[in-house]
Amino acid sequence: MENRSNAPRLPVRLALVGGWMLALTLVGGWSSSSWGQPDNGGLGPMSIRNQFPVALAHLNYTPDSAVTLPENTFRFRYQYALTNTFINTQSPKANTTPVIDNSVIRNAGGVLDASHFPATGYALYIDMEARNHLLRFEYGVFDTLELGLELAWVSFGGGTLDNKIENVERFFGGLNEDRLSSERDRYDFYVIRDGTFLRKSTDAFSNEPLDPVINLKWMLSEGGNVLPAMSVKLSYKAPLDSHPKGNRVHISSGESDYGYYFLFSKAIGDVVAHMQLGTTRLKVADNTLADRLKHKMYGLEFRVDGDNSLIIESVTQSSIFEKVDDPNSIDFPISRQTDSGIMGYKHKSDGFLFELGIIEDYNQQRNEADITVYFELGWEW
Amino acid sequence: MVNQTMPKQAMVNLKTKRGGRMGFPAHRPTMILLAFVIVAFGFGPFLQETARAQSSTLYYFTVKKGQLDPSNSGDTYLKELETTHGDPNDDRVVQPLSFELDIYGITSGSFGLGVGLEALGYTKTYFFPDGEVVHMGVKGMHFTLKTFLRYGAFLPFLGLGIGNYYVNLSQSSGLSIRESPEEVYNARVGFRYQPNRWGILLEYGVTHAELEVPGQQNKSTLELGGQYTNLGISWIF
Repeated sequence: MENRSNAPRLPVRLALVGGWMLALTLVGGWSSSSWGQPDNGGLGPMSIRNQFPVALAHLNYTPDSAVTLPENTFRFRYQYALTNTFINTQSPKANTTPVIDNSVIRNAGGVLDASHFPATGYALYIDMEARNHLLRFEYGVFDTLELGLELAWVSFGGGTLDNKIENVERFFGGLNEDRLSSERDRYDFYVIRDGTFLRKSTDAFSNEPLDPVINLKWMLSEGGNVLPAMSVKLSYKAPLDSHPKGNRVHISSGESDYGYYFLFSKAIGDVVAHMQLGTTRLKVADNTLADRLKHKMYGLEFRVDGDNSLIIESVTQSSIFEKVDDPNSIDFPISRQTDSGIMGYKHKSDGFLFELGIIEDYNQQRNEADITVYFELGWEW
Repeated sequence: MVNQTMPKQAMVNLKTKRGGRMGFPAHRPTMILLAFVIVAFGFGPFLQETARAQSSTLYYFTVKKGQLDPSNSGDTYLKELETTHGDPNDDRVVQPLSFELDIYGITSGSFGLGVGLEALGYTKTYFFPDGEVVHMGVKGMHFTLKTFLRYGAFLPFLGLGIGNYYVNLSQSSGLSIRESPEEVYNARVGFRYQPNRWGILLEYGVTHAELEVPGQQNKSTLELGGQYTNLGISWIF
């Protein structure tokens, strides 16, 4: 095979071509004197955070509009999300040992212990539905600066959707056959690493508060006919309790996390292109979970008219599980990134906001929620 | 001369391993990616009347075939295999097939912006002299923001974007993985010639989609992108 390793690497050439494109964009923009003010933000992307139950204890990225609220404007939003997850890294089909299935759980009296999982590396057995009630308060301090506060309450339980999800997955030819070796609508939440449980819960609970999140969004430019709207968003999660007790140990890390995200959107005719990149830094104990999550989102918003949009977007996130230097880790690829598709509808008129969406993972390694359906109601004044 | 017939056992190994040992349905990303494009494609006609009423929005659907060459990317995975197994039977060039939905907004005069959503795929199998066989099946998605000029039916463009790539990679000696590179960037330049509803497209570009191959001692890398040239037929609707 030809060896041309001294040739410039691809990123260098990418930077050159990208620079060229940026220059053309700027020149094109000025020369056409087209610094008008199209609605580059649209109604915004589908705005829901990752609902993977393991990740709920930590800060995460939420797709958001690249355009800030006007000065002295309030927005209040209520979001309800229902998420079904089934993950069994020890399923009979996974060809791993030890195996966990319904009979093993029954024989263990319904509660697994460390001996049911591998002694090294990560292992997961998650069978649950999570219901998430989220309140969001946002305020436009200036036209280009927005402050936000998020408060959420979460319930974990067995739910009722297992049968329906199996039918839908079967219809699309993507049935997770691991589900068939488990009792339906049961609640189990086990995450273990090197013989130590990171999560262990079999008793359902309701409406436990998540840690609050504060957001600050600074719009660098609302763009024009050529340039996109651009914003930087900073998020900070403050723990309600540095030593969470009871059921809150499953949904709060007891630590503060922060994240920074770059939001771009550009109206192109009746379509708004959304593109967002960012990183979330998690404060976690050694040898537990990843301390950094990288996020990427791109999507298209089809403006039906000024009040209604249909949206489709893809969200990629690095795994919350660390890469393990273990020759057997290839059998447990849960440290690989996940991709989810979000589709939905958004409406905004006279200050009233409505959003309806569905999230389906399309690339996961037993490290992502299976399906989420959600709606959001809001008011802006 | 390398024997290009795949050893029977190697073929069996690949067949059993390609779907992955975790039981994950390997076709699922393909279905979802296709659904992504189809749904986006389907929104076009739905919005067409609105688009005509409000502004000039053009929807192009393009089928492209081309050549992708990752050989000068500096990746190391296949070079390391060469040192162990000898020279493979083929070079790095592949012929991806891709489908792209482009949405162009005519803003003012001859200058405009667009966005492209593209799904692509290719496969490649390497045979080494000692019987080692490496197979890769790659699928990718590009989300590209484009600037274009319009001179009648002639539309030169530049594009820059991000995306996702997925590879099913297997070696007959044991490796069988399904992986995605963390970072995917894409830049391209080209033109359309669209005299009527049907037109042609020619483009040159570079994709960076470097994967760190897991389970390798030397942190081997495999470039799934590279320099590419595509020729396409497009349909405006």
